[in-house]
This record gives sequence, C-alpha cells and structure tokens, in this order.
Amino acid sequence: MAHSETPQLQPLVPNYHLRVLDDKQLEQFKSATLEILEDVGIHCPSEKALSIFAEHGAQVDFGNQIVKLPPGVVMEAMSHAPRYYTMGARSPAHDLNLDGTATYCATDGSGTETIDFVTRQRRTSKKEDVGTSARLADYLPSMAFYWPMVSAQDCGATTPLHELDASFNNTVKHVQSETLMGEKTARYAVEMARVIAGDEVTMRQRPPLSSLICTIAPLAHDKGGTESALVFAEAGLPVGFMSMATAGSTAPATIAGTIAVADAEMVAAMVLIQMAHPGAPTYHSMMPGIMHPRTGDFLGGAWDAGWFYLVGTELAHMWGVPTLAGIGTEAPTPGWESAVGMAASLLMCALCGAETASGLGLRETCTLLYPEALLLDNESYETARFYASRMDVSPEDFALDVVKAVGPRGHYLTQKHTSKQMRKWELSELMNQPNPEGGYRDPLEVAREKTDWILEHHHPEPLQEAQQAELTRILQAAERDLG
Amino acid sequence: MTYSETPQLQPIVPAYHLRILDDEQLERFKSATLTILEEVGIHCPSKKALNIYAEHGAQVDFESQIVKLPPDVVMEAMSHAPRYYTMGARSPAHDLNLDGTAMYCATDGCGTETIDFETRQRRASVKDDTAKMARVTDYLSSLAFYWPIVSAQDYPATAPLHELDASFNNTVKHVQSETLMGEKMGRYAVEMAQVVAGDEATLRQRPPLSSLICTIAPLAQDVGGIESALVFAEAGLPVGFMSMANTGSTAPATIAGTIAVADAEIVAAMALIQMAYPTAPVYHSLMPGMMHPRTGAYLGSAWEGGVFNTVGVELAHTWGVPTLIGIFGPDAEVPGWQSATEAGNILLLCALCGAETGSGMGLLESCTLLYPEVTLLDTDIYHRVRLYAAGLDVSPGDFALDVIKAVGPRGNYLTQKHTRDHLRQRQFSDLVAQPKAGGGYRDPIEVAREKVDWILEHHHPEPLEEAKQAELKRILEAAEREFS
Repeated sequence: MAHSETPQLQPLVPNYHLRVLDDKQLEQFKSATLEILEDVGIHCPSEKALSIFAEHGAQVDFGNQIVKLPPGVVMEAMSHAPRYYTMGARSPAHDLNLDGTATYCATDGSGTETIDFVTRQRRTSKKEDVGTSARLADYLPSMAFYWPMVSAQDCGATTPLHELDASFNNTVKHVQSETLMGEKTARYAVEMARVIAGDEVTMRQRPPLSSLICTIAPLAHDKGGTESALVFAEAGLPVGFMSMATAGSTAPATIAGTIAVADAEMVAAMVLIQMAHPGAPTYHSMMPGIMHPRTGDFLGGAWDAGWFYLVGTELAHMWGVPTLAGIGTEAPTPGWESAVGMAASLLMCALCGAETASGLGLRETCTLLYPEALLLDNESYETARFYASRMDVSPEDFALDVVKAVGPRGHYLTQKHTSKQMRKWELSELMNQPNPEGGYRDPLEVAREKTDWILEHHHPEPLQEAQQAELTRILQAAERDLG
Repeated sequence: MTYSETPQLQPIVPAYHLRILDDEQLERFKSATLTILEEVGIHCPSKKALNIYAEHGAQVDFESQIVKLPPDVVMEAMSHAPRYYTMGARSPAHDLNLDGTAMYCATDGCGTETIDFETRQRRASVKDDTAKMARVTDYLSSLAFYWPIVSAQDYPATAPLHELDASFNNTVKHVQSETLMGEKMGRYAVEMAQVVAGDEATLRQRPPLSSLICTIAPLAQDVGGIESALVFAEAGLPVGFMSMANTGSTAPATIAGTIAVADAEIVAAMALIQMAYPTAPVYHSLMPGMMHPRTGAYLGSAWEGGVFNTVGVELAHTWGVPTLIGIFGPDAEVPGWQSATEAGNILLLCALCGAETGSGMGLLESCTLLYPEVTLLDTDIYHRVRLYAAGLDVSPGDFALDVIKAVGPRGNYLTQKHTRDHLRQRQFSDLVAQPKAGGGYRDPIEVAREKVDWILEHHHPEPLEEAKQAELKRILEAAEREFS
C-alpha cells in the first residue's frame, strides 16, 4: 500500500549560544533547591516511593508522607543520571539524539477541546483528533516528536492508551505522553512501546516512547504519576518531570522563589528515579507561570515569566540532565497574541542549549486545538531555526562576478544567476501568498487550507499489521482491567 | 500651563551578548565590500560629492559619474568616524548616549497612509497624524527617539520640514528624519534643529536631530540625499545611510551578495562624509529585503532575510560606527498574527549583538501604513524582549526560602503577605490578559486601540517655548516661499 514519506527532521541547530546565568547565580539556585529539599521536603503519597527514598538515605516521615533529602543524597543520586541519550522513532532516521547540538520540538498537549477540522465547531476532543494531529506532526520537519495533542475523551478509562494507539499509528516519530498516570496504565504503555520497538534491546537503546509526569506545586508528587514514572524507568524508557508552580499561588511571588520551588519538586522526582533505577534516562522540565493578579489564572506568557524557561534550561544542565523547555501561548485564538507568545522564547531556549521543547499547536493555555495552529506556530519555529543557524559564507555566495557584471544602477532580475538562486530560497508558505485579486492572502486562511491539504495527502507508513493487532489487543486487555 | 511629564526611557540593556559571525566571516564581508568599491564603484550624481571623492584619493570618472575607492582610501576615511556619540533630546534626561551598553528604538517611517484615528477609514497621511504619533511616542518608555511616522502630505512642497515641526512640538525626544532630501531642505532642517538646541555648542554635543539617507540599489547614491547629508555633517548633526537592496532584483540573489552590495553603498557614503568632515557622527543601516519571487515586492521579513539585521549590526561595528537596525516593520497588512510573527526574534537578536539603535515600530504593509494601535502592540513585544535581555537579578531574598518553609508542601501562597507585596512587582502586559466583564480576556488589539485614545487624550508633553515655536513657524514660511 502506498504511503507518504515522512520528511527528514529539521531541528534547531544553533550556531551560537547564550549563558543567561553566571556560575554564581547557578550556585545560588542549586543551593536554594538543596535547602528546600533538606529543610522543607516533598510530600510523596506513594508508599512504594517512600520506601525507596528511605532505603537510599532520605529522611522519611511515613505518617505525614514527607521526604527530606540531605544534599549528599541528592548529589549522589543525580550523579547517575545520563546527560545524553536517544529518544527513538520507528526508524533511526527520525531518532532524536539528545547530544546538546540541536533542539527538537514537539506539539503541545494534552488539550480537551477541538475546533472541528471540518465544521469548525468547538467540541470535546476525541481519539480521532489525536490521530489527525499526529499525521500533521508527521508531515512537518519542525516537529521532531509528538505529544498527543488532545485527550481521547471518547475512550473512557483507557484514554491515555488510546492516545498512544492513535499516535503510533499515525506518525513514525517518537511519542511522548503526559497522561500516563498510575502503575497499571504505565505497564500497558510500556507493552505498547515494546510492540513498536520490536525487541527489548531496541526499546532500551532507541525508546519509541517517553513519559512526562507533572509534580503538584508546591513541593508535592502525585501518586499515580510517581508510580507510573517508576515503571517507565524500570523499562528503560525516558521519563521526565514538569513543575508548573505558579508565582503568587503555588509558589512565592518572586521569580527566583518560584523557580526554587519548581526545581525542588523536579529534582526530588529525578532523584527517586535514580535511586530506584540508576542510569535511567530522565529529564527536567520547568514550566512555571505567574498568577494573574485578578483572575488567578496561570500566565505562562506574562512578561516576567520568560525567565522561567531559560533558567529552567540552564538548571537542567546544571543537574546533569536534558531539558524539555516550554514554549506556548495563552491566546484564545490564532492571532496577534498567539504569535507574540511564540516570539523569542523558542529561539532563546535553543540558544541556551535546550535539547527538547514542546508547546506548538494549542491555544487557550494548552487546552484548545485549532487545526491550523500547528502550521502557524511552525512559522515561528522556522524563523527561529533560520536565525539560530550558521550563515554559510563561501566566496561564491558573494556573487562578486555578478555584481561586477550588473554594475551600479543595473538590475539582477535578468541574470541567470538570479533565476538559478531564487529556486533555492526558503520562503514562508503562509505569508505573502499572492491573492488573485491583488495583495496577499490572509496567512490564517492559507494555514487552514494547507492543513486540509496535508490531511488529504499525507499518510505515513502504517505499522505492520501484526503490530497494529497487538496494540489493539493490549487496549482490549487494558479496557478489561481498568474500564 | 500644565503639561505631562515624559516618562523615563527604558532602553534594552543586554546582560549577555552574542556574536553571529566569526572573525573570518567578518573579514570576508569586509573584503567583499572593498572589492566592490575598488573594482565596481558607486554611481554618484552629485558634482560636489564627486569632487570631494576625487580630492581624497578616489578614482572618479566625472562623465559616467562612477567613483571607485581603493581599500586604503576607504580605511583611511573610516578611521575618522566616531564609534560612539550622543543623540540629544530637549533635556539630557532623554539623551541617547550611544556607548554600546544599550539599544534605543524608534518608530517606523515614513508611511503614506493612515487608518484614521477616529473613523478608522484608510486615507492619505497628514501632518496632524505625525503630531499625534509624536505624542504617543513621547508617552511610551519603549521609544527612545521619534521618526516622523508618516508623511505630512497636506504640505506637499515642504512636507519633511512640517514633519519636523510636528515632531519637535509634540515630543521632547530626539528626532530622526528620513525625508530630508536636497541641500536646501537640509539647511532648513539644520536651522530648525538650531532653534530646538538653543545654541551651537548644544547642537554639536547633544544634537536634537539626525538624518537618515537612503542609497539607491545597486551601488548608487541619490543627489538630493548626498547633498543633504553633507549639510548635516557640516553642522555636526548625525547622518546615517541605509541600503534597502533587494535580493534578486537590486542585489544578487544570495544573502551574502545582497549584504555586500548594500554594505558597499553605505560605506561609500560614510567615507564621503568623513572625507568632507572628518569625525562627523555617522551610522550604518543595513535593511535589505528579499524580492517576492512572484510579485517582485520587497519582503522585509522573509525567513532567510533575518540574517540581514544581525549581520548588519556586526558589519557596522566592523566599520567602527553605530548601527541603526531594522526591527518590526512587518510586511503584514493588518495587526494580527503575521505582524507579530515577523517581529518576534529580530529585536532580541540585534540587541544581543549590540545594536545601538533600531527603528521600525508602528507601521504595517512594509513601512507604509499607520495603524495607531500597532505602536502599542509593538511596544508589548519590545518590553518582553527588554526583560529577556536584561538578565535576572538574584539576591538571596528573592528565593523567599522563609516563605517556602512557612507554606510547606501542598500549602498556598495566596494568603502570604509576601505574595501581596511581591506580586505588585511582577511586570505584566497592559494589553494581554485584561479581564473582560462576563469572563475571559479582552482582545489585546482592542485594548491597544483604547490605550492610544487614552494617551492622546491625556498626554501632552512640555511644549516648546513660545519663541521657539514662532521661530520654527518662521522657518517653515520661508521654506514654503522658497519651495512652492
């Protein structure tokens, strides 16, 4: 059966780099995190995790479920975390080698509503949306891995697993889920990953699936999240932790204080993983916000909030792990505000060396899927990619012979050199598209059309039938177990 | 008479820096420029300028009006250009000290159409638009100097001077014009600047006016532009040169080739100024575009074109002068997704590369159409960038460890006095996330529109002294008689 080729990935490969914190500032942050972990501790509602913490030198109050971690214990655990590793895809051509030279981006997730792809009506999200969006992400070279963009809410108790099914069936790229909560769900997810990988060795070396678990701010872990994370770590699949501590409500109303709380939550979780499974691939994902002073809303795009993502990147590296940096927008619709939300943040995180980032394609603070939003955010991605890349300056690029031939006040349009070079230009496919009536078309409309075109024409290589069947079998088993 | 205080400027002060090109790449660019200037030359239609060039070692063909500049002649001339200087305002509090530590931004210009402030109809621009936007600029801390944003087309013969009049009367900030063409126009403008400065010493040390002259791509000067520039340089007022060479039409269809052509145009002009008036303050402004492959239009925001801006900054510094770099200035036709997408990264990168000045806030449709609220929208992006670039101050108190200990795991910070005290210090957009009656948030573009109205209603900067106002009028009348 004919299928579409998945284009080569085009990660951001920064030619120049930034340090936003100096060593002294990094030390201050480290010190603050260690002090919080030692003196305040983390609430951990998982008996299993509490035992692991206790066995490895933490001070555990089983009654209150509070874990305090002396600095020596933290540092010892973190010393085992791998700095670099691979997030695998169906084939090595689309693997993500997190080696610090490139930034790989993913879609946002996991929204709960969709602007219907056909009717444009706003409705609850469903499994089909996950698959449709996966195909879009598969088509775009900017999307290096796929977060199921919305919740498969038509699937009941096994929604997260159906999201994986829809994802694996519709993209060849690495999949990262943020909804795999609970030990049982995680075990089924690992089984599904094994089906994709094909064998145990591949699964560990080139894991096709990774997980993201959120902490609960301030300073708490989630039972289902923690226990799911342990399953992933045991299986050798990468698992990362995200804090969305909010300045003024679930964190202090200072930038540094919020970062400290968030960092402590994540570090405690990564420490647990290293205690249980030394050498397990893990990552750090700082995504705090600032509380809207009137509505209480989480504002990830507030002016002051930009610092969270950059500092987060540098803190991850300080702890010796890769980062998943946050980019995204609170904007309700694609428009001026959504573009502003994307502006600069992705580029900055890439320049700071972020290995991965997510956040493209949703609106209303990561909850609403607009079909065309991914194409629009892709535009911001592409500009960042260009700006970050090395400028090739070979002698031919100066075209001095052409400059001499044309001379002052001449024109280059008639030069053969021009018609040849123009074909190499990389231009936006959304902006500046001529309108038959004159002027240019609205890029949002062009984005909508292009989205439709991709969905009509792009059908990635399907999984082998046996694999599809096996995934279905796992889903059914999970349904019986969890439903 | 009461007037509004002009807020303190908030330039971008980067805490960290970037180098886009390495030394070898910069050398290649410099070498390309020198090769073009030596072997291809520049067309210069001003006899006055041709003579100056000839007197200073250039190879001049007076017939074809082509000037070729040997490398050592270029380097000698450029060695006189000051690296740093001041662009003055009415008072030192708003002066721009171009010393490499900060980036100062201006409005865009010079558009020809306005979306009417009240009717929202699209119409030809008039002097009053320039005046109104000068007041808006005066109010915004993001704007350090004012480019007359649109043309005073209701004064056809002397529009550029009326633009200055509208500007000087409505903002205390430095004014930079890009429409002062011709020696005579230049002289009247200098007279107006002298009025605002008050005396010769101030005029030279803290010039309240500077000029931007465009070259003609490829590799040509404009007679009116060059002769106006010489007048400015003679008076000690900063003058800069901008090339808007267009990849594929007025420049080769490669990025490096376009930069080389544009840079050669700018350098030839700056060299002329230094030959005529050594140490005259000048600046370099590289603003090429890419030709739309179907319509032929100038695309200021093409993906690959982003490098024009950052390389432009570094080339200016290689030549030993400040830069005026293009920021904002989208090709978009309306405020919206495209206008913001095109703006995003360039301002930040240019600031981190050390750009001293930038212009481009407030217009759409490739610098031709004034939407009053766009200045406010651009300002929002500006402040985000300013905060990114500023670095994070981290004092021990900022970690609030005592508060963290008090609240503990699973507590809430809302009830903490610390929260009430510190949340007020957080910096929030005044356009985004503005609560709407009934829930949700207001459209930031609507909020921006209202804010423009508010500023125009409430912000009236300190007027010029009456004698100065009268003197400016007199100059305008004299110019009117001469040019009409």
